[in-house]
Amino acid sequence: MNGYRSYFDRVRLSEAQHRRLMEALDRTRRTRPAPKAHRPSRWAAAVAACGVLALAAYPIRHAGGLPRPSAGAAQSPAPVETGAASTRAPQAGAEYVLEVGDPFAGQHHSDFSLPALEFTYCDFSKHLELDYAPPADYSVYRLTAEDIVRAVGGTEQAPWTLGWEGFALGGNAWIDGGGALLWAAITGKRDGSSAEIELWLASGGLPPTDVAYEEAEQTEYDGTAVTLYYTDVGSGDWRYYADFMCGDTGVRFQCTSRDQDEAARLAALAVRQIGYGGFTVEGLEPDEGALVYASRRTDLSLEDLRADPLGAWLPAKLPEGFAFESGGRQTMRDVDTLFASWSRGYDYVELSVARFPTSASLPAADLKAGAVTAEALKTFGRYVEDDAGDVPGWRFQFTVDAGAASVRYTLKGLSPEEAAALVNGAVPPAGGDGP
Amino acid sequence: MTDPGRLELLVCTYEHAMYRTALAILGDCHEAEDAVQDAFVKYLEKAPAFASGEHERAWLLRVLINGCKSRLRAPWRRRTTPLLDTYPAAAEEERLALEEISALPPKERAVIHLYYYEGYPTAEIAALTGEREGTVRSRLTRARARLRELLKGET
Repeated sequence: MNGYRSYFDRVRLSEAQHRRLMEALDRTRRTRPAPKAHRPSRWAAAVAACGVLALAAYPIRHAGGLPRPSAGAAQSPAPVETGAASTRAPQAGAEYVLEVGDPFAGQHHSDFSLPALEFTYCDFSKHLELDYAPPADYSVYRLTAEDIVRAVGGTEQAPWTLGWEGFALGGNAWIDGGGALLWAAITGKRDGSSAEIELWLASGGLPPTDVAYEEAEQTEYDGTAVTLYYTDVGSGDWRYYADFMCGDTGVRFQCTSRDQDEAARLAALAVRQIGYGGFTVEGLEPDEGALVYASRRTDLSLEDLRADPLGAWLPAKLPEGFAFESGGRQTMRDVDTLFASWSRGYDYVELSVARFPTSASLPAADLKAGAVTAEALKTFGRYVEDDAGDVPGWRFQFTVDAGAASVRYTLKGLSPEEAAALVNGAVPPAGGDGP
Repeated sequence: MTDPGRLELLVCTYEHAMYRTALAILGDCHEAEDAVQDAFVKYLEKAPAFASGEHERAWLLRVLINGCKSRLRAPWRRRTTPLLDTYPAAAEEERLALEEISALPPKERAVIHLYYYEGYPTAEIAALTGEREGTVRSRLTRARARLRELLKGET
């Protein structure tokens, strides 16, 4: 490849090409309308308007009732694995749950350094779906309460400066096959409130995410570049995001709440933590005893896939032009998953077939086998006209309950009719074991 | 982004890398020049904000690659001039490398260029091309099989 590299090292736009480019861009700049102005957050505007009131005492408030999390909250940055243990609710013993108390024992106190930050509004319907998959071999461990305290810069408790009183928190760490930390996630819900937080940490860069917004704007706080944005995820929930680096630790924080001010405040306090020591993944080394599950993956040929017991659920026939790309089997504790992908140009068909132990309750599927029609699939798809210049067409993502297995489909470039035919030609009726 | 000074700085920072990538995919200097212009025009239209220079570069490359894909899908394309005619090789090693890699399908050329020339890992190439990482790895595997001699000594 040295020849390739030395060849391209010499390739550059000439002076004439550069001049033509700049002239074209100058014409564009002078003739096109300016980009849409971003609506400042209601919270930031209120802060600016209220002045001293923004610095007023923040008594502990407990809203009545426990509203259910919105459907939009399900779209977390977590790389969702079929059968994976939830990263949301702390599930194990007390040592893995951090309950954050009120350090002021109910007394009013003032918080005079609340930063007045501007969050950019982003249209939820225009979010970009990114794709990130962990390595073939990785393990997930529970974080202890001590791990969580250390990660958020505390000594015996979470710092009061975070404003997390009333939250019950749990966390997980993803470790690769070599023992290195991939990322950690701390999540929790506030008692008596609809607020849910997620804090993702990684070493050396921002943690991965599967959702991004082009409108998100970067600003600066205490000398650190921060990206602050918020969106309306539907069902009355607001979600505020803050992405930044704390030294070598990448941080993605999000708060979802029906109380927009609460979500904005918690995101701002997370940013303020930069000046109070911030967050860190240093020293995060979970015990073997805290293993949630290990994932091992083996690549398989199409022939091996079809010979696999779960191969019965692979589509027998694909639309013209699709060629097999890759596939394999993944084992995560008691859950076996077979996955495969086909492509046709930049269109693709991807599916994973997961068989759960009979003792486990299956995750709720979007559709039942036998009830997959083109009309039904439109509910789980969207037609994209313009995706940064990518090909227009339908994109689908849905799961089908096939009785003994759950089949997840991700499709691009198929019409609803083709998608229905693909599914119906593969999944046997519920209760069957397949061909 | 309407400040002309900042725009020129942005263009000067990324134009050559973007041009090389477009050339690697499209194989023609005129089409590559147009693709680079289209990508910067999109930048002017969207005026996105970036968390870092890396993010900015990745965004521009992604828009460029999507633009190259659209050009390759066009029902007609103007006659192209072979790359080696526009930019002659300086040595036999270069000529052989260009001929072998130019014979690959555009999708595989893109992955080879991003991996071996730009140095992106497969996960980032997947984000840049809008494909799954598994697909990127498959393309690399297929391309490597065809370029076995060329890749001796590469990791």
